[in-house]
Amino acid sequence: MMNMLSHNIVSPLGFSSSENYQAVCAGKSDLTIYSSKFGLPGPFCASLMNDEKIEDYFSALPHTDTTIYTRFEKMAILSVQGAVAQTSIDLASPDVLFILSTTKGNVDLLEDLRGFEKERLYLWRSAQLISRFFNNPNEPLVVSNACISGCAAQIAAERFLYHPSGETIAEKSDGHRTYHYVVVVGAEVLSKFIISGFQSFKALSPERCKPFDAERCGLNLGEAAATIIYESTYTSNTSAPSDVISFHAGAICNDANHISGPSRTAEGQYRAIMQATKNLNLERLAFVNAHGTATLYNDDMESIALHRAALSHLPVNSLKSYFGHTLGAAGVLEVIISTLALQNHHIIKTLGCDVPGTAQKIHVADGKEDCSKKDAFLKMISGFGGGNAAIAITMRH
Amino acid sequence: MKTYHIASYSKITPTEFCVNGDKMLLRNPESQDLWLHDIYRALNMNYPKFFKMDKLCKSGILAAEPIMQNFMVKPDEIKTNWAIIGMNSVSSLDDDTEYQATIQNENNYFPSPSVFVYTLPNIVIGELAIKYKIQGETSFYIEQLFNTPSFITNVIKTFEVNPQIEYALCGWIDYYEENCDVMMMVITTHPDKSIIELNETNINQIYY
Repeated sequence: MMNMLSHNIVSPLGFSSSENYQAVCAGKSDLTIYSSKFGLPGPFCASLMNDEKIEDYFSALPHTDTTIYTRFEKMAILSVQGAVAQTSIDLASPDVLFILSTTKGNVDLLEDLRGFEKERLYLWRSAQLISRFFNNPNEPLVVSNACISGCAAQIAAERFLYHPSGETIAEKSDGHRTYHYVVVVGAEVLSKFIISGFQSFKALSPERCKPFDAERCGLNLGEAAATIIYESTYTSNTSAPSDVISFHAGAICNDANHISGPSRTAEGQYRAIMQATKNLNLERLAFVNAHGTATLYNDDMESIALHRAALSHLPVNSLKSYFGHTLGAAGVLEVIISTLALQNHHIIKTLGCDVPGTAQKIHVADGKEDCSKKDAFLKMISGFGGGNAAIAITMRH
Repeated sequence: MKTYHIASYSKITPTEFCVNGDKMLLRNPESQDLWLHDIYRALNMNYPKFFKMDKLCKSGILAAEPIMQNFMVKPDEIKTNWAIIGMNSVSSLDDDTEYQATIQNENNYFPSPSVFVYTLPNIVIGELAIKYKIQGETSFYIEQLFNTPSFITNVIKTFEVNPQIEYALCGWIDYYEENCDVMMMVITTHPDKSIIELNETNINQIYY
């Protein structure tokens, strides 16, 4: 079991979780149409970080040389710093493990290394630089599972945390240790590489996306870094926040169907939901935070999964019209925003969904639902490679 | 308490293809075709989709094919009691480089979805899931070097938290600049399927 100790979001909507949450509640979105950027031949609509703001925030960190880190690494470091600043834990302790969730890391350097060494193209190298910035002595783990990475990283985090049944078999057999804290950081920056690829798939919407809307026509991409620090429930000795947010359970299931398209029967997503909610009283669920990319097939698939899981009565939202699809950051960022919503007894409306229209009828959240007596939510996410994940988060006052 | 066993294993290096420790094929320096295509023919495979894949996926499929044979008695059966765990060091950098070449020049700009889709390391896991009809947990991790304790931990934790999982197709699947470094194995909780125990010594012996 693990609890959420602290979190942070660095996005175009702000540099802290609360700034981002408030922007979302105010209906703000930074999705902008860029007519000429990254040397791409046509316009695209995305949510991009302001370089000057990154530099301002980064140069304010103590003892930093702003020239030795890439834009991707700076955003990740800022996000971890924002999360750890709210706690008393020491990231330099061997009791802390870093897990980085990203799909492409520094892939923008492939076009031009800009003075960085070629090794920076390796995800493990970025992860090392991020964890070593905080003097962490452990080898970081990188989770790269396409769009589900952010949730997969949280699911992995729980496995590395200390459990009172004593040493697990794994520890006995190979001396591999467990940790008291795991820092899960998800980050993604955009470049010609990623945007042209999604364009070639004809997956992008020319304007702000419309998740679950009958007229939806594709997704938007976004940049962000998001961090959650989880602590083992059993070693918790830090000052607990007023609400205890617990990672109830998470599951990953593959469709075994297609490498770049969702399953028509939502098989993997359905089974991931069933596994993640197995020991949860479903009456506790306030809402479902879906992947909701606003592609025709993804949103249909999710509606089918919810229908099969008998959860289609629950309010469903998507945060993609606020942040875009932030790829490796998405699963972390969206769990944080949803957690804040749960704590505030608020269900965030799905911006851009005017007339819902999915394969199965679902209840798309309009922001007016009452969830004051509920204390849990379900996160779902799916992606290339046939992966689907579901996470249930619960709250105790 | 559950015990963990290796039911079968395979390896592909730039010069050898081995299954359960036996050398199945040595690279013929005279061969006009790709080393991975020579292995495909030696396995008598009939999987036309193979030729559409990138090298990372091809090497994963080739390493898995011989070790999955004993588990494909009912080829159409969906395996919900199987997991797939992949790890490597280079992610999909070979494909990233290939894709970058298609967008580098404005005058020669031809991004293709069939190249772009392989610029994710977990696509090999997706291809394995499709080929062997595995619908359990699938995951991909990246570390600088193959690390035996870390590999064993990732595998055992997957079993520990998913009681329904009885088998895992796992491996280190790395391919970059014609350097193929692949080790795959089937790990199970069923002792009767064991050829050797899952432990650090055995994994080291197989990998190094």
